[in-house]
This record gives sequence, C-alpha cells and structure tokens, in this order.
Amino acid sequence: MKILVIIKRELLTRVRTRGFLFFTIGIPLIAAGFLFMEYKIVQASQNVSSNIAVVNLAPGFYAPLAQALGARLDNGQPEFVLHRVAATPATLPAVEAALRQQVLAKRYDGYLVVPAAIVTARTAVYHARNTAAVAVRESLQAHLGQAVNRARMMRAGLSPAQIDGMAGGFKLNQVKVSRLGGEQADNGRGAIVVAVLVGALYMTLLLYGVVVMRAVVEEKTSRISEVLLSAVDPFSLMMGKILGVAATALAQLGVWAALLALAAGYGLAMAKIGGATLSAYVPHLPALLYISFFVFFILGFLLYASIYAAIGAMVSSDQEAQQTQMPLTMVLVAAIYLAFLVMANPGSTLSVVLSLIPFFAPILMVVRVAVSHPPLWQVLLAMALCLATFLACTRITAKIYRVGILMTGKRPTLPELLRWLKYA
Amino acid sequence: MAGAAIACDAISKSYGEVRAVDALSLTVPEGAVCGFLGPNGSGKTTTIRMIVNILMPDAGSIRIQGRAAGADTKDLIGYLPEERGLYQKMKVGEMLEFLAELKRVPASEAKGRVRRWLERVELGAWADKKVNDLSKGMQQKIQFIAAVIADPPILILDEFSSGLDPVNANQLKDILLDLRAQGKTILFSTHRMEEAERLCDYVCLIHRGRKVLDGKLADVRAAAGKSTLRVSYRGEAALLRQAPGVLGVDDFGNAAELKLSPEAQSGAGVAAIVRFLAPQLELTGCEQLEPTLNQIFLETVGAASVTPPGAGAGAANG
Repeated sequence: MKILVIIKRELLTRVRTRGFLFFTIGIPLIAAGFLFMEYKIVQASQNVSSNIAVVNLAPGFYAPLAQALGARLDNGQPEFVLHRVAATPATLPAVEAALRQQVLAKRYDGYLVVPAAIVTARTAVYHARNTAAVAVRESLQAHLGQAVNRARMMRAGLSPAQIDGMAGGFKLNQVKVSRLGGEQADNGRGAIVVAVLVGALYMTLLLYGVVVMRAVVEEKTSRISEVLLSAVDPFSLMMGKILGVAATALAQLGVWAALLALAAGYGLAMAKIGGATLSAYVPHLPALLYISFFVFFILGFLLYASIYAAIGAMVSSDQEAQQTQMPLTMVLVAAIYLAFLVMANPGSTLSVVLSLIPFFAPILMVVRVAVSHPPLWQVLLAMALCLATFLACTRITAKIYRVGILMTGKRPTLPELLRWLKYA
Repeated sequence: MAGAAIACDAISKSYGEVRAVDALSLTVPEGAVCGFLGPNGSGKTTTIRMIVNILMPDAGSIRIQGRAAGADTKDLIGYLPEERGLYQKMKVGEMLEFLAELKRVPASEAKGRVRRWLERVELGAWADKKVNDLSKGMQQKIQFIAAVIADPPILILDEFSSGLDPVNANQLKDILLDLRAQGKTILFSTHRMEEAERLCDYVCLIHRGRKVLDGKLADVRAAAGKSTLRVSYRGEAALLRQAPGVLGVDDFGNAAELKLSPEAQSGAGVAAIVRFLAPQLELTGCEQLEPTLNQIFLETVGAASVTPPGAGAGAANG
C-alpha cells in the first residue's frame, strides 16, 4: 500500500525532529520540574520550625496557647518552638525593643504579643522578620483562634470534655445527578479533566492542522509534488499526509497520556501511603467521554486537516497560507468560545443544536458528554454527521488538492476555484 | 496498438479557454527512444503529465503497455519532471528509498539500489547528507536517480539535460544509452534539436498543442527529403538550371547547391539529374544532403508564429 509508505515517511520525519522531541518529552519534563521545585520549596518552608518569642499579658492563657501551638510538622519537628518572655504592660515597650533586636539578629523568627484581653478582643499581634511566610501566619491565626474559642467556651461554663465533643471539622460532599445509572460522587476534578481534554483537542486540531497545511505548501513550493503524483494518486497522497500527521499527533498525545498516567500513578501511590482513598483522587467520568473524545479527535482531525490540506494546495507560500486559513481558524476559536456556553447550559436546545454541527461537534459534543449526559443518539448522530461532512469535504478538497498542487502563481479566486472543481 | 509502450489516441486538454493539447495521437514503440519536440508552450509538459496520469485528458485515451492509463500504470513509468523538486530537508539516501518504496520497490531492496545508483553517479559519500547541502548539479543527478530507481520499463524525461553542466550531462547521457541497451522505452522532451538528433530513433513534433510530425527519425528526415544536391563541377553553370527537377541553384563557381523538387529527391531523380549533367559537364563530386532536424522543425512549423497559444494558462508551460 503506497499510502502506508507516505504515512511512514510523515511519521518518521516528524517524530525524529528535535522540535517534536522537545514538545513531546521536554515540555512535560520542564512542567514536572517546575511543579517538583515548587513542591520542594513549599515543603522546605513547611518543614522548618518557627522560633517564636511569646510575650503573654493574659493571665493563665500561656498554657492553652502552648497546647494549641503544639502541632508537629511532617518530619516530626514541632511547628513552633516557643520562648516565653516575661513582661508587664509597664515593661512592654522595653521588652519589645529588646525582642525587635533579637528578631533582627535572627535569634527569633518573630515575637507574638498576646494582649491581656485576648479572649474578648479576639486579636493579637505577631511581629515577624518575614511577613511573606503566609503559612506561618495562617497556622498561628488558626491555632490561636482555637485557643481563644476554647477559653470562651470554658468561660461559658462548658467542660473540656463537652468542648472536645463539639469540635471537629466539616466536609461538604458533592454528588452529580445523572440520568444514566446511579448517582456518582463528583469531587470537582471532572472539570479539570474536561479542560485538559478540550484543550488537547483544540491544540491538536489547530496546530497539527496547520502542520498538514504547511507540509502541502512545502511540497508545492519545493515542487516535489509532481514527482510524488507520478507515483501515487492525489487522494492517497493527501490522505497519507493527513493520516501520517494524525499518527504523529496521536504519538505525541500518547506519550503525554503515558507520562500523565505515570505521574498520576505515582501520586496515587503517595496518597495511599498517606491513607487517602482512591476515589478522592480519580475523577469519575463516564467511559463514554473517553470513547467520544477519541472518536471526535479522529473525526475532527480528518475534517479540519483535509480542509487545511486543500488550503495548502491553493496557495503558493506560507504567508498566503496564513491569510487563507484565517476563516477556518476562526471556526475553531468560535467552537472554544461556544464551549463555555455549552458548559454552562449543556441541555439547552441551543447547546444541542450547536453540538450537532459537524465543525463544532468535535469540541462541543465532548464538552456536553463531559458535563452532562446527553442522549446516546445525539452523540452518535453528531459522529455520523461529522463523518459524512468529512467524506463530502474530501471529495471537494481532493479535487482542489489535485488541481492546486500543480498550480503556481497567484491564489485562485472563488470562481476560479469552482472551475477547478469542474476540471479536476 | 500492440507492442506500443505508450499509445495516446486523440487526447485533448484545455485550461479554461486555452487548448493546451488538441487531439494529439502519439505512439512510442517498446524499446524506442523518442524525442518529444516542440517550442516552449506547445503542450509538451501537459501531454507528458497526462501520460504519467497526473492530469486527466478531457477527451481521448491513453494506454501504457496496453493498459489504460491510471493509478496502476504509474509504476511502469519513471518520471523526471521539468520542474525539479526534492525534499530539501531529508537525507539523500532516505529520500530516494522513500521514492523507491512509493513505486513498490520492497524496503529491503531499496537501500541497496539507492547505494548502487549513488555510487554510479559518484555521489556515494552523500547518502547521509541533507538534500539542500548538495549543489544544484548534484541535485539534478539525484532527481535523475529518483526517476530510474524503481527500474521501470518506461522513462519519461522532461527537458532532462537542462541545467546540467557538460560533464554531468555526458554522464547521464551514458546512463541513458545504457538503459536504452537494456530495452527501456524512453520518451524525452526537449527543445534542443541537436540533442534529439543524436539520441532519438523516433521523434514527435508538436506545435500549439497539435502534432505536426512524427515517426522514425530516419523516416522523418527521408520524408522531409534530401532536398539539397551539392555538386562540384567544371563547365557551364547555366546547364545546372536545365536539369530535371531543379527548382533553384546557388552557384559558388566550382560547386553549387541545387534545390530539388520533391520528385527529384528520390534516387532515380538524382540519377536523372546526374545522367543529364554528366555528358555536358565534368562532375567531380555529388552529395545529396539531408536537412537537420532543426531545419525540418523550422520548415514544418513554418512561417507560423512560434509564440505560445494564449497566455495565462499557468500549467501549460511545456
């Protein structure tokens, strides 16, 4: 099969370029590197005990305060190392002056002034060398708050046991109501997956569509088309190019998916050690989403790439190609804008109609499947319409390709284009 | 027609209003070297593109080795287009292997063939270089290899020697003669008549999309006639004009060129002239001259203007 020879060449010459390697492996590695560095930085800052001097003016409050601030870090070190500094309201200015010097000398990271009326006033002041350490401030605030609340409840006459019984966090669980099957817990990560999938679709349709177009322009300007056409028919040549580039895009997506799965697996393993359950981390998305993503990826790519190929055959230079492809790019951009509309209201008539339009379906139907449960017949109809449009389009694009590929000189006008269709 | 490598039957092709090729019939027998001649814009490239099945004729039919021209017959033909083109960013060897595989040469065999051909044209060391690192002359030779790599029975070369320096042109000409000895059918277009004269045994002359002349080179020349009789003589020049079938005389004193009427160009006609002159003049030499292909071409195309028919047909530049 000659088309296989063409696909093989497209795939091999593209996959072996430095640019492909960089985008496919380099970008995820760099992204992972940044995430890892950020994680390390956060971890490093979180795993350092804060050395804090405490000036307590509230009688009897130091013990509950020390208890409240007794949290330990992941590495077992105390989060706060407290140094009690005695002071009275009279000596406070002098003590503070001395502490300020000691903070600047890095003996302490900061000092906390607990006012006499902390329980009623609900406020204290933390003087720190580094006010950018948000985690330290938030932790101090939360723990001091707990100590203050506890003290207030004690005053109200509750026993420590009663207070312990009342304490405790609160968690709101969200459940997605669906027509298909039972109710599924949705932890909110679904939206991120949808964004990733739609982003991947948009990028590959646009970027790799343009790759097809530029490949055709290159063959045209280097005039190798005629040599190729002496060996294969133009339809095979065009489809071979499109499928070869599609294979390249799939290879890239495959590598990314594998890397993502690897990272997710690693994350899951870490989460398991930490005692979390699987369902807390894996988004619950229907299998239909993954299937329709794959089908619409292929159909959408074929549809857009065949038009990009025809545009490539119509023009004689990259600049001309850039101008001519604008309307097609606008359609894709419109699809992305409409995606937000559909996401907000996936079941509306407008959304249903838009998601059936072949040029929008690859993005909008995937969005609908992701955020709601459209009837299966609508998904299948959108696929069928997309396929039919592709088949109808290739009849035309292949003709344009066939005539255009041998043409040089100026871009054809619309009437000229119609004439091409006649004599191809 | 049986035994024909290429048989075009009344093919036509128009671009809009412009008739690039008009009811052209052309037959190239197996094993022939056929020169496809015509001025620029006469329809050569359009015809060739139809034979290679890149363009479809509007009317008429084309058979390649007896089979209707189509996707299947592409493998029978090696094609060197007038507009040369290679993948500039590919390695020379890999690109030629790709083009070989595209003509159904098994991948396992393509590598060896490419190496042998590159060595034959003294570019063996360039297999791993990118095409755009090669000089223009080297790229021409690579383009030629691209046409012959699949070892097709028919070769179609459009202006194959244009842009070649004499050394490389000679190298490729030797290869061409070698291929002809192997029994390949070769159709090449050119507007250089002396090149066609040296290489071809068949010629086809087209002008404004129409065939004006074709056949064996020898027949064509014979048909064009040996219209000039050069005689060396001593005696009365006026007698020359009275010889039978002589239309005109260009006298140089002791030699003259006689312009012969068509009837007088045969052996008998010349013999009659000699018989007429011999008793009355002292003839020391007598030579009947064939016109060059160039003369034939100019005479056939004649006074007709040799400008291409109509401008604006972008692809009709052959």
